[in-house]
Amino acid sequence: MRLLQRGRTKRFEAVAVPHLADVYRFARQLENEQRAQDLVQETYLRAWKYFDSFRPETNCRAWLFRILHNVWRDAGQRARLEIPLTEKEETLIEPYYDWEDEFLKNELSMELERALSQVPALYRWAILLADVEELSYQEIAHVMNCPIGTVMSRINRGRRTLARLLRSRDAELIKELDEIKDESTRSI
Amino acid sequence: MDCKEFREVLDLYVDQELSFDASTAARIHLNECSTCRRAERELIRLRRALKLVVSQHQPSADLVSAVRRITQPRWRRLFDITKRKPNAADVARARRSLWRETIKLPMPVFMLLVIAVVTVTVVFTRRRMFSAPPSAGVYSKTEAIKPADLGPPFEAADLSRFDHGGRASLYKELR
Amino acid sequence: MNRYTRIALILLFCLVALTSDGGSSHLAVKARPATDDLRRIRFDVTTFEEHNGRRDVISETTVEGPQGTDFQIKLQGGRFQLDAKFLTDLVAPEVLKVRADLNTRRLYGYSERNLPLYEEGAQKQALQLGFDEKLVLLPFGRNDNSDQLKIEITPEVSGQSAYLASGMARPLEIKILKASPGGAITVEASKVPHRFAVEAVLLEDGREVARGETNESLLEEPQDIVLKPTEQAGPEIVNNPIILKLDINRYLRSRPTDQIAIAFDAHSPERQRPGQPPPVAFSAAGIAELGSTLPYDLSDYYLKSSGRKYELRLRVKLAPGEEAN
Repeated sequence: MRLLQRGRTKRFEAVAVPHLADVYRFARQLENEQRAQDLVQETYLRAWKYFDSFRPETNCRAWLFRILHNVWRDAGQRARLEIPLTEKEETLIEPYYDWEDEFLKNELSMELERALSQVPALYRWAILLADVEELSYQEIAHVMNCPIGTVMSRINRGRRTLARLLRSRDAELIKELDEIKDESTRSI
Repeated sequence: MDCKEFREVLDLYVDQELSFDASTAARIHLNECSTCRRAERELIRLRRALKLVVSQHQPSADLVSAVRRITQPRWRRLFDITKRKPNAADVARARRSLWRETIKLPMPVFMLLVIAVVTVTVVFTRRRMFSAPPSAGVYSKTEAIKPADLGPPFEAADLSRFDHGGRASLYKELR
Repeated sequence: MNRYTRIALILLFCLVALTSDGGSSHLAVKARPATDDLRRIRFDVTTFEEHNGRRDVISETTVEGPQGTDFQIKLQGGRFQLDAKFLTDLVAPEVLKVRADLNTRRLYGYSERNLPLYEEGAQKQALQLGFDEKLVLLPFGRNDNSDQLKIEITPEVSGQSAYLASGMARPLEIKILKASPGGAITVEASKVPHRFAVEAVLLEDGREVARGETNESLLEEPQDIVLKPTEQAGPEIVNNPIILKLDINRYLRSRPTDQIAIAFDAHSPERQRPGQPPPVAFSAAGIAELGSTLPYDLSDYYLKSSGRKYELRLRVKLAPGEEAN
């Protein structure tokens, strides 16, 4: 029994634990540091508990993200602002007009992280899984347990919401700078 | 492919989810349209920026240890086995700590309490099973639910002889 | 306190809760006069296999409960899954309104990274069903040339009263007359309230400036609620009306009070671009106890340049005449 346990432990450490950093970084984009740590620990607890159901030939990272999604959903549904769930009717992809200008001044910026935190959670999930984890749409649908059309819609809306949030911050900054300029001109 | 069509598939193009033909058509349009090229470039920049932003965070050493401890047997968690080989005194101390940590009630009292609670719970549950069910709530005659949400699910009856790929349909008719 | 002592105390509390639960639920049920003739409705759910004009019954189940009983049919095959939810309401003496939500999942292969790939379908349908009619569900669609699986749902008015002689509500009943092989087809039933009264209030710096109400918001049916400016509203509020598209999408049994899950969009109808749906100004969701207030801070989304604080408060209760049990 102990030998079996040791084998299982070794496999888990070889297969699942190496993705800890990815899972943590993802969770960190959903919650603050303390909550992210809780989510990660709960994810790995469940992963260890159900490790026997994991098929070794499949993608462990995606499997862990699916567990993380379930943990996050179970833990935090109360009083959280989320996108409404009536997405079945909204399969239209909105036409693009937002990528014309350069809105991302500095790629590594606190502005981007702040803007990302304002994107509705389900959209955030979709764009992080697509852009950071580079999962396919089918894999994202499996992780988020939703139809692939919904995945496409969430990615589309998530990216555009993020771009708009970034652009509106720039607009405010420009407005603030203009106001400062006006005041200084008047005082001369 | 025109600009409107390209914009509608821009996400799919950048995520490499388009079919070969659509992807080729998109590439041809990009060669001809500087506006759409700029749009593609901005989206790729956004993706790259997201990766950089997310990668800034690292799990703390405490979190890494906590996760590693999940798979360790209980007695190893009491002292760090990686630092040195445990001697007999360490093991004895660990066993005593285990006892002290877990049991503060005298053992006979604790066992009596557990037996009493379990007996009463079983008796009460059996009585409820044979009495009228609650007036509201979910009634289910399903089988036991497996942790099916953690991997490829369903192994059950073979209904494949009915499945010709058609879409479910619902309608009404006279009896 | 150590872990085992904690466990012992928790077990004790559970024991107390179990012993008190039977008593309190007796007290919570409203007594009804035995002469009340509220009818119960029975749904016969029969699954057939049809081949060359021949019909073989695979399974048969009946669900019986008071008006407004919902049921769910699940079909589970090796590579196919169907989840069909039916919300029913008696809208006229001989007419049922049935809202169906069908979800299917078909495994068709594995990705490059060996994750399962599913083809998924989702449909919503609303039907009016008379007691001289029946619903027919074809999980795999129509196929007249080969074996076809068909589920028929036939409504009947039950001879039983909705209440027992003691005045207690008669419980929901599911009877399996013939079980499906391998448990492929299962039926569940539940009775939750369907009709809700919603009150939405917009506050500007703590003063009520707009209000919207409805007494007939149905479960799982999005509804528009227009927030009408009150007398205290200034011209900015009057010129920037808000419409809520509210969906009460789940009813959750809970203690001490049941809860509802809602989701809504708040948008302005006037900033519409031609050919575009109205832009969403604010989307949110939440879970709250029935009757409690859900507040949402709209200051960053509504009349932001005014510098005033705007708050939306939502309250959902059962509609008049609707019961929790």
